[in-house]
Amino acid sequence: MQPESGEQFNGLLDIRLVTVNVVDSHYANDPAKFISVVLNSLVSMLHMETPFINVLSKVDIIEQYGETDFNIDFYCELPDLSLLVDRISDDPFLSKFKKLTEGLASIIESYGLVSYMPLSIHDKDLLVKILNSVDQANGYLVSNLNSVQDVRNSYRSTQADFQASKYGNLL
Amino acid sequence: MDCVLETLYGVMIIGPAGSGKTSLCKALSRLMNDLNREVILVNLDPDNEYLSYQADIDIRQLVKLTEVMQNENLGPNGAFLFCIEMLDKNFDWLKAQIVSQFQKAKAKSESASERANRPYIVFDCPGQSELFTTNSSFKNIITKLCNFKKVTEVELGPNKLTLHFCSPKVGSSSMVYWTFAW
Repeated sequence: MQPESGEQFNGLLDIRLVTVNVVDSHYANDPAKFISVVLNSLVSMLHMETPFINVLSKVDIIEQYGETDFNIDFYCELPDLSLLVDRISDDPFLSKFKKLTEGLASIIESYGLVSYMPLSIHDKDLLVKILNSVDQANGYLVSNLNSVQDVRNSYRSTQADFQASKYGNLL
Repeated sequence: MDCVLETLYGVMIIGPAGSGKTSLCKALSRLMNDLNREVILVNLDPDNEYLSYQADIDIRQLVKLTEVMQNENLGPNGAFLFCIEMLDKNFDWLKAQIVSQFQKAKAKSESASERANRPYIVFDCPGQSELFTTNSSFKNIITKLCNFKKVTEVELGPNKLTLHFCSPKVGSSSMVYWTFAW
C-alpha cells in the first residue's frame, strides 16, 4: 500500500462530506438528558459546518432502561420542547432549574435545526432511509442523473410520502 | 474545465462513545457493497484496539493512543487530542492515502461492471464529543478534506438544488453549510 504522490492529484479530487451524528436513543427516557443531547447535537451542527444528519440509534431497545413519555416520532421531530421542559419541572429536584431549562429549550427551538432519524441496526428499511438521506445531502443521488427528466423523477420519488415512509411501522 | 475533476462522496460518522458509530459504519458499508458501490473505510479512532471491520485507511498506522500516553505522559483525553492534532499536522499523509485508495477503488469498480458506481468514503470517528463541538484541529481536518478542490462556482443547476431542499431534514443543515461554503 504505497501512497502515491498526492501532489500531482492536488485540486482534482473533490470530496463531498456529510456528517452523521449518532446518538443513543435511551436518553429519551430522561427528558433532562434528552434536552442536553439535543443541545449537543445543535452545537455539533454549528461547529462542523457540513451537511448534517442526526440519527437516534438503537430505537428497537429504546425502552430498555425505562419508559419514554412520548412516542418515537416526538423525539425524532421535536415539535414542542416545552412538553419536555414541563416533564423536568415536575421533578422536585430539577424544578429549581426550570428557568435554565426553558432558556436552553428556547435556544434550540429558535435555531430550529435539530431533528432525528430513527435507526435500528437490525432494521434494513431504516438503514436504507438513512443512506438515502446521506446520498441526498452530499449529492450522490443526483450525481448519476443526466437529463432534466431524470432529476424530476428522482425529485418526485423522494418527495412522495416522505413523512409517512420515514417511520415505517414504528408508529 | 480542462482537467478531469473527480468527485468523491463521503459520510463522516460521529457521536458519543457507545452510541453505535462502528456498527453503523459496518452496516452502511455492507449495504453499499450490496448496492455495488466500492467503499473506502477510514478509521479515525486511535483507540479502536480491535476493529470489527477491515479499515482501508487507519489512523493507527500514523499514531497509536497507547504509545502517545506512554511517550508523552498524557491521560487518555489529552492523548486523544494529541492524536487528532498529529493527524491535522500530517494531513498530507491522509490525503495521499485517500487519493491512492480512491484510485484503487475506482479501478476496481470500473473493471467490475460497465456502468460503474462512484466510490464512497466512510469515516469512523472517535467518541470524544469535544472534537465535534469545540476542537479546532478536527474542524481543520474537515475543512481541508472538503477543500481538496475549492468550490469556486455553483456547479449544481436549480433543479438539483431543489432536490437538496426537498427533505426538511437535509435542507436545513445544507443551508447552514452553504451559507459558509459559498
